[in-house]
Amino acid sequence: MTTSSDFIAEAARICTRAAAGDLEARILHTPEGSELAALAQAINRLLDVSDAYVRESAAAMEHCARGEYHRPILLRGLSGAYRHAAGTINDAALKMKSDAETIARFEVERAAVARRVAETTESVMASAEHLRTTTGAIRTHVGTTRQLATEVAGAGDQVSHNVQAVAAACHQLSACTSEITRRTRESAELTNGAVGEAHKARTAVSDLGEATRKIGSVVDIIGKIARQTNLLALNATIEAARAGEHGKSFAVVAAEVKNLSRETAQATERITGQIDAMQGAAHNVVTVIGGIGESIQRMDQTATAIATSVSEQASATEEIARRIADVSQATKSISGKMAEVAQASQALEETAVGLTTAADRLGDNASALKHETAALKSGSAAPVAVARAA
Amino acid sequence: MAHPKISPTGRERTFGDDELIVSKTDLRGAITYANDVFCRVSGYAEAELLGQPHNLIRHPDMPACVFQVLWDTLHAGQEIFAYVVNQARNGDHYWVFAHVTCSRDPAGNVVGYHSNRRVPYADALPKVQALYAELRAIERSHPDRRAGMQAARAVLDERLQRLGISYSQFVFSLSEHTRLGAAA
Ligand SMILES: Cc1cc2nc3c(=O)[nH]c(=O)nc-3n(C[C@H](O)[C@H](O)[C@H](O)COP(=O)(O)O)c2cc1C
Repeated sequence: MTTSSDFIAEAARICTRAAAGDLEARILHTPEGSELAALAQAINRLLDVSDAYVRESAAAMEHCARGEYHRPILLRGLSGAYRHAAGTINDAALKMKSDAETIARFEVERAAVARRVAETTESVMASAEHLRTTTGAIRTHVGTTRQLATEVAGAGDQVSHNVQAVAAACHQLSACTSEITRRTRESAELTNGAVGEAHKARTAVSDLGEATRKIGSVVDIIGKIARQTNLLALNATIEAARAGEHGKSFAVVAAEVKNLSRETAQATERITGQIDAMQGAAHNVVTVIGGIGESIQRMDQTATAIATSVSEQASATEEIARRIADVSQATKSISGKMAEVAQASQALEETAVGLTTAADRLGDNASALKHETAALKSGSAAPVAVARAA
Repeated sequence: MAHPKISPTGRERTFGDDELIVSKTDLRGAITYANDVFCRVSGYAEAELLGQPHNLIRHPDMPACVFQVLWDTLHAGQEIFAYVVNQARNGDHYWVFAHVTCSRDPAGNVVGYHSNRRVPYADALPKVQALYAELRAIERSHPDRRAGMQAARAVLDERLQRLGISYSQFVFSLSEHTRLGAAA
């Protein structure tokens, strides 16, 4: 640089380039010690510090942009506004660093949340699918149940009807057996009466036998008297014969007495025969009456047995009737309950339909959620750089 | 490479906390601009620097593998920070915390490189010096320069891998003042 005007022109050119953003050029070869040298030095210093500030701040920000925060702008060598601006940038970088760390922390949490949400969503989807299958099965079962309940209710009505008929029949039977019992008791009383009568008849016949035997002994006495009378008549006849005529009328009487005793003997013989016949007949009567008594007693026993079994049967029938009434009641209530079951099944079926819809919606929502969280899980490119800074 | 070998004096030079040592190079690393602070601290006049390769101020204690990382990073189009000890014209040395970046034309093509250097952060220096001594020893133990550099680079890479951090994170972790939120 030879002349001062050359220098000024060069300085102006360099400052213009610097103003346009070209901080490369410097004023070179200025003669030492001159005033121009001081100006050149001042211009070069201005350019140097501007150049340094621009390079430093750009480089520091480049690092921040890459997520690297170890490189602040070095304040040493910078003064005044340059130093202040550099400090401001460093503060901003510090804030960016802490933000990046926070973001990185959140990113880790977000990834964890996304993972958990994704897992939960998967399980919700699986549950929804399972729910759908289950509600389908429930609906089928409920339908079957309802149908069965309706059938059972119908069958129950039929059973109730039949049972009522049986109950009525039992009541009738019960009434019949009561009548039988009554009649049997009556006949037992009659039989008892007959037994008593037979007993009396036997006593009467025995009495008759006794009287007959007494008559027999009287007849024996009469027979004895008749034989002695005959003997006396015979003696009288013999005496009369000895007495001849004197004894003739006597002989007649004796003969008469002899006839009478003979007739008496004959009569007693006949009476004895008749008494024997009577006694035989009485014996027969006793035997017959005894037979009748036995028959009546057997009849009585049979009647009593019948009465017992009939009364047992009656109470059994009553028991059956009671039980059947219970069954009828139970069947009626079963029918009622089955109607309720059928009604409840219908309600349940409607609920199951609702449940299926809900499961479908749940599945849809879970799918949508899965779609959403897929984006959440993949994240953006930023976390990689953030991770490097951490 | 053509410059004469300067013996280190062991004396350290410093510059102001509010100052930046600035230089620019072409794509091959030849200096195209050096600011007044660069000239003052390095002891070279502008005319002595312009057109010279940047290893003009290279100090023998700097491990070659660090510059390898520097160039690899620049060729990848990225910025790099590095603690560097430089050698002044008279053999004095000065530590800097260098920020090297690509210069681009409006179309985004890399047209050269740029470096700002600050006063290094004191709490980082002992760690850096220990590391560089170790890496340099590895490099020196190899008769072949390239093999030595690769061995040291392998050790550096292996250490970063063990720490599970990038080179950039490692450099910023060396000082309390270069952490975000620190009043650097
Ligand atoms: C913009 C820029 C600035 C640089 N600053 C320095 C520096 O201050 N000190 C240094 O030793 N190397 C610096 N280098 C690296 C050198 O170009 C070189 O790679 C290094 O000195 C190693 O030298 P060598 O490759 O000859 O071993 C810088 C490179 C660039 C692109």
